[in-house]
Amino acid sequence: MLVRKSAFTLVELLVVIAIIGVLIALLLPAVQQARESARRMQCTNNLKQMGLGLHNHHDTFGKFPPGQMSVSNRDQSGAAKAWSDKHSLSWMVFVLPYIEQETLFQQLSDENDNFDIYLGRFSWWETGTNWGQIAVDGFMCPSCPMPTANPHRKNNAKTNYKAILGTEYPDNLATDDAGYTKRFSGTFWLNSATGFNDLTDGTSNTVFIGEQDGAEKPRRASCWVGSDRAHWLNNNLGSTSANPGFTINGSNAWGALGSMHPGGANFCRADGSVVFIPETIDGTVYEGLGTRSGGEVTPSF
Amino acid sequence: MPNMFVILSRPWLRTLPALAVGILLLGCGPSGPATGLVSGAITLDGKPLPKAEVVFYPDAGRASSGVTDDTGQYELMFTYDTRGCLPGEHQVVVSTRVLSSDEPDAVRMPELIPRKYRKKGELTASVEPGTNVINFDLTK
Repeated sequence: MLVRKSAFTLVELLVVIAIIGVLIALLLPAVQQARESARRMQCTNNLKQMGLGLHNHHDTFGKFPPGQMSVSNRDQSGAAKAWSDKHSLSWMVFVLPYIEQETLFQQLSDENDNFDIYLGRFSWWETGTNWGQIAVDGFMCPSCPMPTANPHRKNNAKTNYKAILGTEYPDNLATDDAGYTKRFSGTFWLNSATGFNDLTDGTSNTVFIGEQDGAEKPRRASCWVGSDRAHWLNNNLGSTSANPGFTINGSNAWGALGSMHPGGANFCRADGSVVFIPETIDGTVYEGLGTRSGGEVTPSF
Repeated sequence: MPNMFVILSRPWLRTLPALAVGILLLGCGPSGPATGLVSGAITLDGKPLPKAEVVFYPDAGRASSGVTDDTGQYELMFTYDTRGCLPGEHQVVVSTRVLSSDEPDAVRMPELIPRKYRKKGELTASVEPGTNVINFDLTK
């Protein structure tokens, strides 16, 4: 009768080491995915807070803030300035009080004559304290690799979020009154004043904030404070066009929405919920999500 | 603990690590939908058409686009860093009014393409998995 040996052989030891090695190899990529997953979750929370901020703005004023508000419209003598000389404030400035940045909002407001749209000095583009360089964590996606001071926007603090203009490209508008007062198919544009009553597609079928990464190639993030040209609508407004240059993770540097999250980008719906839209979404569905009153059927994506 | 090694010493159980490696590799492979590679040439009245944007709109799903070089050659990109195009039937539009997007003050280029090619309906293409060469000869 054979007696079972209690020792183990070299082969058995190697097998055990191999198994442990395989388990570690399984675990390591999962850890890296967990980090990205956590960043995406933080980004989701940022969007949620801004969505609630827009809702609170609506509760207070009965409308959403303008997508971009043209300011310093007249010079010292009271004469109207050319459109290309006007500055613009972004919608994010008006969300500040609702994401517990009341003090920053107050500083901006004091320095700009309580946002008098005719007299505002907008010193952050020229002299004085540059409040636009204050980085606001809630306006930045942690997955975006761009430095906080945006080199493309005079080192103003970057943002990774844009309000939805509609399906049109947010490119340079015609430099006349008709071009500047144009209404777009989305919820936000230059000097817009939309409310929930304008969202006839339904708040759950309309996205009103999107994400834009600043990965340098190809897309460049903007700054949250506004732009020094009122007609640069692509500073704080994004498009949900089906054109590949402007769709999610498209090739257009300023106009396309996108993210560093693999496979798509986060969007905030007008009902305040946040959704991850895959970059492979059908163009028709994507355009339908961006419009406020297009009457499209919105299937699941 | 010695019992564990006894179990592992059984020959058929020694294949466990190999199985584990096999399962690990199962998850590897190309991600995203299958695409077919598409390239070709575009001419306008017989001459190569440079700096034109060509967009393939599928019946369902994300569109693909490409820009022609100086010799009129284009290659479709599905996303910014993924080549290809969804397989199936596509409606194709061509335009030279592309935005130059280096600056926020975007500049429109002049439109050289007749209106019928800028709308969906005139040009169609069928893309198959694998490599496709699709040429368009436009006339004014």
